[in-house]
Amino acid sequence: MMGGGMMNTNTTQAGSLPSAASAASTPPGSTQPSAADNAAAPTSATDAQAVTTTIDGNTAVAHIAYRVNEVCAIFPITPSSPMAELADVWAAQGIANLWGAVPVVQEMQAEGGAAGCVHGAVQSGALTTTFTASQGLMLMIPNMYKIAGELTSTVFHVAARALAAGASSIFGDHQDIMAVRQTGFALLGASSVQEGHDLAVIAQAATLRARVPFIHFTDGFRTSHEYNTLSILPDATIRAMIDDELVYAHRARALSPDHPFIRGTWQNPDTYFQTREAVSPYYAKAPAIVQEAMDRFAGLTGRQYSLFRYDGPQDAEHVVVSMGSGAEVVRETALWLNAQGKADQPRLGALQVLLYRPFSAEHFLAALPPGVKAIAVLDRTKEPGAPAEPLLADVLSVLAEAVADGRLERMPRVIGGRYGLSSRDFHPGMARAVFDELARPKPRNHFTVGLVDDVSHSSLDYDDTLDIEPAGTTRCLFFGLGADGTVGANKNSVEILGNQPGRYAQAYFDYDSHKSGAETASHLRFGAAPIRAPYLVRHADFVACHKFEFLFRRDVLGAAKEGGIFLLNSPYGPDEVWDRLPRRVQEQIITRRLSFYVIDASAVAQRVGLGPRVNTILQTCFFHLSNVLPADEAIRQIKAFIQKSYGDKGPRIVELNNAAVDAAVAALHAVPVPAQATGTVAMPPVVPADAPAFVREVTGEIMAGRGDMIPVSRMPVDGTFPGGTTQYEKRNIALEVPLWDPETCIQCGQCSIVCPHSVIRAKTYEAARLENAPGSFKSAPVNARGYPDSLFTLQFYVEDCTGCGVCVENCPAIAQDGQTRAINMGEKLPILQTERENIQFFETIPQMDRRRVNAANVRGVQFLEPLFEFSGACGGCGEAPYLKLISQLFGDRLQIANATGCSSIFAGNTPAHPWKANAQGRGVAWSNSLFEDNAEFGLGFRLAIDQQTELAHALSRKLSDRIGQDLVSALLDAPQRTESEFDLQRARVAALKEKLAGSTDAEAKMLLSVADCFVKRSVWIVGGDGWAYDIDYGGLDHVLAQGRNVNVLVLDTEVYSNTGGQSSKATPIGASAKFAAAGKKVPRKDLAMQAIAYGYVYVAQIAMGANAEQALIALREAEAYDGPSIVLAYSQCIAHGIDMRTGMKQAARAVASGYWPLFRFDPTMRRAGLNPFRLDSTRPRISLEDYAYRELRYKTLERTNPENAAHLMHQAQAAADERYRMYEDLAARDGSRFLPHWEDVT
Amino acid sequence: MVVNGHFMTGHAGIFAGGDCIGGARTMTAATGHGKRAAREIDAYLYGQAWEHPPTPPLVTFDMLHLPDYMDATRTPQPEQPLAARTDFSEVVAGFDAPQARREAARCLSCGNCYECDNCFAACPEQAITRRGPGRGYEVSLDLCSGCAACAEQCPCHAIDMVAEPQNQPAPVGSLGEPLAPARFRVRA
Repeated sequence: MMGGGMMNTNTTQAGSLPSAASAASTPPGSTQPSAADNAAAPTSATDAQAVTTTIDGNTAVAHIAYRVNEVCAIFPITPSSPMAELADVWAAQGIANLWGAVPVVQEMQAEGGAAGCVHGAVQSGALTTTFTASQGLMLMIPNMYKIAGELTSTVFHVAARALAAGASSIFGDHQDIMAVRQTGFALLGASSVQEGHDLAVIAQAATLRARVPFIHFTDGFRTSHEYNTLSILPDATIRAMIDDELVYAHRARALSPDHPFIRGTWQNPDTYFQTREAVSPYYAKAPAIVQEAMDRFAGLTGRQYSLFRYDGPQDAEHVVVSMGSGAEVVRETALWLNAQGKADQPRLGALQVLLYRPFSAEHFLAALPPGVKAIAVLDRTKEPGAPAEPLLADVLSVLAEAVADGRLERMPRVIGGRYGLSSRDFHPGMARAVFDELARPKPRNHFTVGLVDDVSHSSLDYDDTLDIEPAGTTRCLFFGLGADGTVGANKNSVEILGNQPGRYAQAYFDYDSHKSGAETASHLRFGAAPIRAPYLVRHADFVACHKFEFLFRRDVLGAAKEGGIFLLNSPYGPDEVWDRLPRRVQEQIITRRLSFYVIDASAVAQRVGLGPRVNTILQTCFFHLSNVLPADEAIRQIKAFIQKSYGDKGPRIVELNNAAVDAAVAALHAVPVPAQATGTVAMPPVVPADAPAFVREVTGEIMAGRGDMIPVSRMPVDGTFPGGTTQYEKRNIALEVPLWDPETCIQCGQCSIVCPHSVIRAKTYEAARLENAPGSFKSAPVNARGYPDSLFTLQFYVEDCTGCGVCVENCPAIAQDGQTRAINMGEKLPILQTERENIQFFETIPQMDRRRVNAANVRGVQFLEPLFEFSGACGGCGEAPYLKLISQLFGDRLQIANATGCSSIFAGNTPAHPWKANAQGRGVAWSNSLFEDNAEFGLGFRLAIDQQTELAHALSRKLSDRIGQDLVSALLDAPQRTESEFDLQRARVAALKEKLAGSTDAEAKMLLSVADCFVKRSVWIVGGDGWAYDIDYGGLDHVLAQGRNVNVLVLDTEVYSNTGGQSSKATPIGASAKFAAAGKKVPRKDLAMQAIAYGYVYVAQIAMGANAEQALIALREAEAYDGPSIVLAYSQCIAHGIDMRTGMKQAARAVASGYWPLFRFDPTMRRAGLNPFRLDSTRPRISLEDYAYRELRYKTLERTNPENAAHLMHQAQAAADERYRMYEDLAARDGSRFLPHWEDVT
Repeated sequence: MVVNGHFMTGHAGIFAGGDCIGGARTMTAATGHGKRAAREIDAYLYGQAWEHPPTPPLVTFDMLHLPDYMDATRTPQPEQPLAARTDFSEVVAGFDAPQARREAARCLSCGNCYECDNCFAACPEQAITRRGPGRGYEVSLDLCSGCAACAEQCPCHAIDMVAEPQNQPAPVGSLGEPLAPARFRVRA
């Protein structure tokens, strides 16, 4: 039964984290909340009462989609994934749709596959849907033409998102929607969470009647991830909207051998044209059908929609036309401006386009106020080179036709502009700027609003401070750190307040894209009226800063309202804190007359045993200070939520959190605010003053949170950015960092190799260099004989450290006391300043000469400079150490094709780019094309390089007289295997360039343009399992088959980590994941065996935590192999639900259980008559359970469905045993029993 | 004096070495004689004959696994200028204590373990335990997987991989694959 309580208590957390940041909201080491844990169950179909609750847009849409469909073909893509996750969870829970059946939820390998699956399912008579966005929608285009051309009813639910162009973006705009407007799908767009919910059922009703397929979209993030209070449709209403006769008709049109026909024919010049035209009447009728559904909906609910919603007086002269969430901003602004009633101001109107395709000219003209004189059309998209953006073009064409044929008396002035790309906040100040522009004598056309365009001078000026929100709305802003639970607590707060009768709540979470430890700004509003403000909070009554360091990086109080409250989580108490504040913050507190409170929530959390989780403590303080609820009631509600959120993690966690709540208020202190700012602490520059100009002017501004204000002229025109900018970020997210004990250290390199963030650097150097070292600089004699003049230093870059502790766990050097090690975690704050000096000194010691380092073992590798550093990866990330390792081994000649995924986000997220160059200016050339094409992208690298190398060879032979025969011979034939040989070859290239310098003939100039290709380049194709096993499997297979020298590194987390942990074909049997809420039913694909089958592909399976030396050997062998190589790397992930600190040990268990055997398949061994397959790990020594049940991904299932879990674990053990035996069989074979390399057959 | 192959003179129980057994000997040779003679005496008193143990195979520079290569040139000794070399006083002045230590520290200790603990650290199976200063290491064969990570990092090549002893063949499976190791241990 849909009791209000059930919806109210079960919905708000449902899988609604943004993908790139979803990891961020999950603390490392804590249990991983997933949609499965928290998803709302839609309730049974007999409910008749509407219920008010507070949920996010994705949940609101999925709630409908799930109930009116029979098949959901899904694939994860931000920001639409939560809709699919919810469908999967509900199906796992056995919840039925309107017709009493549990929909089948099928994950596909790609969105193209999902669309194909939808096509097949609708052609077979099932009501079918999919959920997607952006690149996913692009992959569906071919099928969308088919589905539409065949007049097939379906609704695709889209969370509209930007497209990858000069840069990729997960955030919202209408580029994807506009890229499918020509497919024949109807496009119906919502402006709010409530609309998203309502239009979902209207779309479903309309598609069945119109036979035109629909896309129903909400704005990605802004609506899909906004929590807002809404009225949930009772099932009876949904039922009433869907006419079963139309369902029967849909079924009757399906393929069936019982009434066979042919559909999907191929036609010729004689008939294709007519076929295309034959659908026209259906499109002509569709708008009326949608309006009829809207009217019927209004009869049932009282909420009236129309194809074009006009708000404003009928005598309005100026109208702004827009679509999606921006339309709500325009509407609210127009009404507010009208209400201000300035005499000289024309009357204003706002027109929202709900049904964009088919675009009904008739309805549009009818919706326009009759006396409209000027219209501005806002497009949330960019169409380079077009005479007008699409919505503007449509409006212009409709108006021009209407004027031409006399339906409209005269042509209003029409201008158009772009706004809000990639979730750029669109607020009333910007909407007002558009109205103001319309009022000018000569309004600017093709304008932009929301940025500074100093190149094409398109941008409108706007007022960033305009406040149109009704009195009585409490607005709050919380700055938190991804892992501290701020977002989760705020979701709870919204739920608590939104569920009070007559109260309304809204929450929006603004993440940065760091995988963990991200800065999150939570924008919350509470009020007595529905909250229609889809933009960020700029006038906050309450500002909370959950991390002291943020004060030095961001303008935390920039949005604080006069007289507001400021709560600071501070290690300094009320007496001390004032002097620790940056002077600017002091000034803001004084001039805005803020009430200022501090709490050392981190100390409280430590004291009660909650570790870094300060959320419930600060949440309690929020309720205490903000008075949005009576204190007792607030405490009661918070504790109820603690029970709900942590109940399944055991009573102890619940007690700890309850204790934290009780301790919170006592630890909260008001800070007396002096009359004058006295501070001496200045805001430090975000990046050092000696950083390159671009870093200061662009990178630093973005890091400071002022990216919005960077003018167009400062941005690279083609998406090209300098690497190595993470070094300027200094995130300082760790409270505790590793401290080095040189006495105990054995200098083995085991810490450095596992460090995901490259914060552990080792150097051996001449002792004489210590002369000017700071007193606190640590060093030790080299722990090997034969180094009389050298010292060893292990330097920790503490400001870049995430404090994950993986290094400490992997440190074998336990001191005499049996407790401490050569590295131990310790408080950062006391050592921060001296360590800064030490790092500065450490950097004056030159990097070690690559020619002199032994890269063959772990100890030696620590001396190779990582050219991948300080990435935004999660603390303890299992992927990053492999990337760091290849950067150390091959970095100065490394070119990487990186599939979309975690590694592309933490590598490519502007402005902090971890791939860098060395002091000689050589380093990693990195690019990310797409998710679905990465293998091909990397092969493209190889082909181009090989081709240019060939050209260089040919030209050098041709010009050998001028270059010198000896030099040419050496350039062509000298070996390039060791660092010394690479060094010599580079010297030869330099000599060649010198010889040809100043040449004016075409051949010499051409040779110079390709001369760098004489140095062997290392091409690596990097991606996760979602990429390699699923979406680009076909491409990967094709690329491996070509025999070209490419190296593939699969960072195998066994789930789609980037989108929040959805199941892939690498997900093991028995593990639960998003999209596999009931546990994966089939074993993971053995990608290695598939590659081995080629015989000429180098294949290795590695696990750093199990055997770092084997991983190192495999990566070097793969690189050295002159042909295709693939290395599958076990990568522990927060999605596994483990304590990431001990992730390397978990990897060791994966190997010891036989689940993840280590092996190398080296075709060159076959050539030497030996067995190419070498099994590097032993027979299973522990049970699979011993490994698996230490991970929440397995454990969850054991908890929720023990019988099923036991059965799956039994099958999983059998699968692991059998797979290991198969490998043993391979390892025991005679070398001749493998395929020979075809080139060896003469 | 005439001594036999065991440095014993014609008088049983009397041993001799150094300059007195003939030839132009250096101090170094005399020291060696003393060491050798001591072993011979020890054996003689036990009623045995001492036999030179087999010389371990020579460890050459390319067999070392140094983590990196730093220059450590020979320590120059102060010498008398040519013009001053007019009498029998020493031309080469010898090392002072720090110089002598530095010179000794240039030794790579080829083939001789000096307990740097890096085999213990490199072992992915935690099969190697430290027995304390001067006492070397113990390899637990029911943990060792034979991966050679220890040997491949040993800076002085004090570890060799050897075949399993033939007299106690390791347990193997039906395909001849090894069944050991039996135990598993994660790093402490």
